[in-house]
Amino acid sequence: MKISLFIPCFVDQFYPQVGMNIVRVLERLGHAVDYPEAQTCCGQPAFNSGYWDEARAVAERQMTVFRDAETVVIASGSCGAMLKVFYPELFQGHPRESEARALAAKTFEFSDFLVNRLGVLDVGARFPGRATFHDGCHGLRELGLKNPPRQLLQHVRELELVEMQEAETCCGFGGTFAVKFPMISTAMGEVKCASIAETGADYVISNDSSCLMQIRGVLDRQGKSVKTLHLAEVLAQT
Amino acid sequence: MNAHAREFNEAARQQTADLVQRDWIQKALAGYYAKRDEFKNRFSNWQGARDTAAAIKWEAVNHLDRYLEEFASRLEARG
Repeated sequence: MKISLFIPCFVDQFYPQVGMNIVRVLERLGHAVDYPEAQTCCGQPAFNSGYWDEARAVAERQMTVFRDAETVVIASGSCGAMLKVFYPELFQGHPRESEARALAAKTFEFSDFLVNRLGVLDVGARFPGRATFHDGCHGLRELGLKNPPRQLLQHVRELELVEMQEAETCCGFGGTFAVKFPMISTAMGEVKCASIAETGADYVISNDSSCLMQIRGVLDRQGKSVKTLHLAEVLAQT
Repeated sequence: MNAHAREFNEAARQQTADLVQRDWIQKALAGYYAKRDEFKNRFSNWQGARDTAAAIKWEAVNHLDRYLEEFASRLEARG
């Protein structure tokens, strides 16, 4: 299968290793991956802030860039939800609506792609350690991806996966939310980190780099040694 | 930033710094989630039940004039 990679802004700017590890995993499974370089942002920040015309302008570019892609794999639940769930909404009644729907239909978040599209649970990974998984809001609530990341992690050799009480609770980042309401965002992050600490896990894993950045920030302030990892970084280890 | 936003931010600053209250809320929420999960497990298709309930609400809200009249007349018919 020919896979086109959509790299979220956070991955592009701060966590490129997430993208590189996704490629590693997909190539290990025998697939060809390309990266259309003309891509930019999915348009979610503008969309969430009510600037739908601006969001559409950005989204239209992505629709053009990925028009000929066979399958699009995205490294986050957040951007994944934007393309899969919100592009059709954003382009309702617009001349390019069918294009938006077509892109939504062929786009998959990374774990969704592995489990539901490829039917793969064991990617041949090995990662010794005790870890817990954080459910990012978009991936969980918009894309319904509770199980795929856990199924993948359960097949990672030597990885001990424990559930935290507040796994599904929002980490407080919310993109612009953290900027507009920093004190609330921080309090939510602290609740999340307290739950992580309760598990005794050395690693917290998620499929959203934005959530991981938030959690990392709180953990660093608290001087905690728990490490944050994207799902792709764990699955790429052999 | 307008006056409301300023007020909100100040109140939020105070509230989020209150760790005693935060602890209390977390405990209350934990109890709520336990009860909620108990109820969820009684449904063989939880999401299906949610979708059905949402559809019923949507129908009711969009035809409230008719349903309210029907409700009132049926209630009155019972004495």
